Amino acid sequence: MNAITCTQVSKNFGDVKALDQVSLSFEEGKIYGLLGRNGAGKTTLLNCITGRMFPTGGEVYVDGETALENEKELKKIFYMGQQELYPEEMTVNKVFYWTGQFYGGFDLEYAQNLCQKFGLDPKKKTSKLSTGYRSIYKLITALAVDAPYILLDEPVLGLDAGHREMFYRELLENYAEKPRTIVLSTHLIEEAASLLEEVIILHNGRVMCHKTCEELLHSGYTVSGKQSEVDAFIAGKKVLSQQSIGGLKTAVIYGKPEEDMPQTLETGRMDLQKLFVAMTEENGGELL
Amino acid sequence: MKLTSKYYLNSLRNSFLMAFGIILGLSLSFGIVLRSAQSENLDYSISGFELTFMIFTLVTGLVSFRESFRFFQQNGISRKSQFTGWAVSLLVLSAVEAVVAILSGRVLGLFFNYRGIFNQLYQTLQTSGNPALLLVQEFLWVCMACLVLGWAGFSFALLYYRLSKMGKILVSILVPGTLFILLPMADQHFLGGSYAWLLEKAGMLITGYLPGGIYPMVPVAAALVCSAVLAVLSWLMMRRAEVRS
Repeated sequence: MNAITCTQVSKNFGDVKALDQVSLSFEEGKIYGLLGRNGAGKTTLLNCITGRMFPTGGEVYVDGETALENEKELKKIFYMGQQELYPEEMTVNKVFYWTGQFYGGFDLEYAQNLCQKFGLDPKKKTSKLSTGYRSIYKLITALAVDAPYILLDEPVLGLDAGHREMFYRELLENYAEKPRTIVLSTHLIEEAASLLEEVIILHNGRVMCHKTCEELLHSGYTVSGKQSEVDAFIAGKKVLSQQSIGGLKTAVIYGKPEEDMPQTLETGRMDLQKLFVAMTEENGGELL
Repeated sequence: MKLTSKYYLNSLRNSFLMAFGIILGLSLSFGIVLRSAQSENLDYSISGFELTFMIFTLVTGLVSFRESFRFFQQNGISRKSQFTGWAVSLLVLSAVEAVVAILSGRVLGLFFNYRGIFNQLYQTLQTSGNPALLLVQEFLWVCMACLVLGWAGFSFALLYYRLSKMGKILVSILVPGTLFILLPMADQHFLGGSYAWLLEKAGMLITGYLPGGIYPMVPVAAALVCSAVLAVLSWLMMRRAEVRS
């Protein structure tokens, strides 16, 4: 099966282990969420996959071939990182031109269309763009490029709510039209949750969890009602979080809802962000 | 490699034309002013294309690595392709510079007393030597001078890119300190003139002024060897270079 596969990938910065024997796969045609707290190793992993950094140990394969300095395989990956790697003097139009030259099959018409939708002037130099528009021109490049693997590291950095909505919509439309592997590394979990098919959580440089989004969302539930009744119900259960307003309380519980739930309590669907926060807190790994 | 060369040459085109325009403008201005002064029995000569292109290539080497490396990494280009792309581009640039410098010198020579560095250095060969052979030698001399300076700039930029902050400080202080202060002092007190002898020999290699005669192809060969050494060093530094923030 076609995929990006990491086997035992490690990366050390001096004494710091940024990645510790990470093994995972990004399979063909799926949207992945790569989640993790700050410093968990997400960006380092993406850098190692794309050869921007050399892993201290382990191997990265793209469609079964080693990716390290293998241009044929590296051309299958377009990685939009947080760092500005385009020359400051380059205009957005030139970015499109050169991306087309290097990757081939760049959809210039679609890119120009997206520029119009997002209100981006492609004649502008990349260094003259605001933080938000710097993300936007890179996102447009990623959407218009003809690569089977798209890695997006904090893609909506600096984007306002309207542009974020537009991007998520465009991403889904693009994916529906041309299914490919998309890896979203983001801190805005709540916003991206509805897009994700699979979730990989990195914690302290290790893979903490790799499940489908549905599996994760069914691993817990919320319960709300009168404070005293909720308190009585959650006693002895694995509570991920709880919140009280007035006399009412909502708690997020890990596990499956009981069949004989008190009639006075309401149950609801788990929130991916709350689960993520709970899992990555100290001793959170015990939830798994 | 073809695409990386295309990118390099594309990004060099404008700055090269600018450097050429500036030196052409300066040469014409000085030529006109000095020619009118010649009528008052003042001797004059102008030059500068070779030197301008040599400095231009050195600066190009210095500034070419970081930005291009990051851009190529963004586009999934292997370090090997980047390196060969640069090597080809530098060779093309040096050859173009040599041709442009010689042609410009010849054209300006029709109107002014233009004497390029090569003609000044090897004046004695001009009258006795074969003109066609001299032209080839001039081309190779300018081309190789540009080439070695381009590699020098590129390898220096790579060295600084790879070094840590402390390493950069140490190299910045130790290299000039050793070459210009420590070694001359040591030469005076302990080395018995060996360093000065070495510099003299290096000077002979660079100019081709050897005890047996004047050989313009000696500096060409020396530049070629130095370029090869610098290219190998550059590759060794580049093959493990990573994108830094």
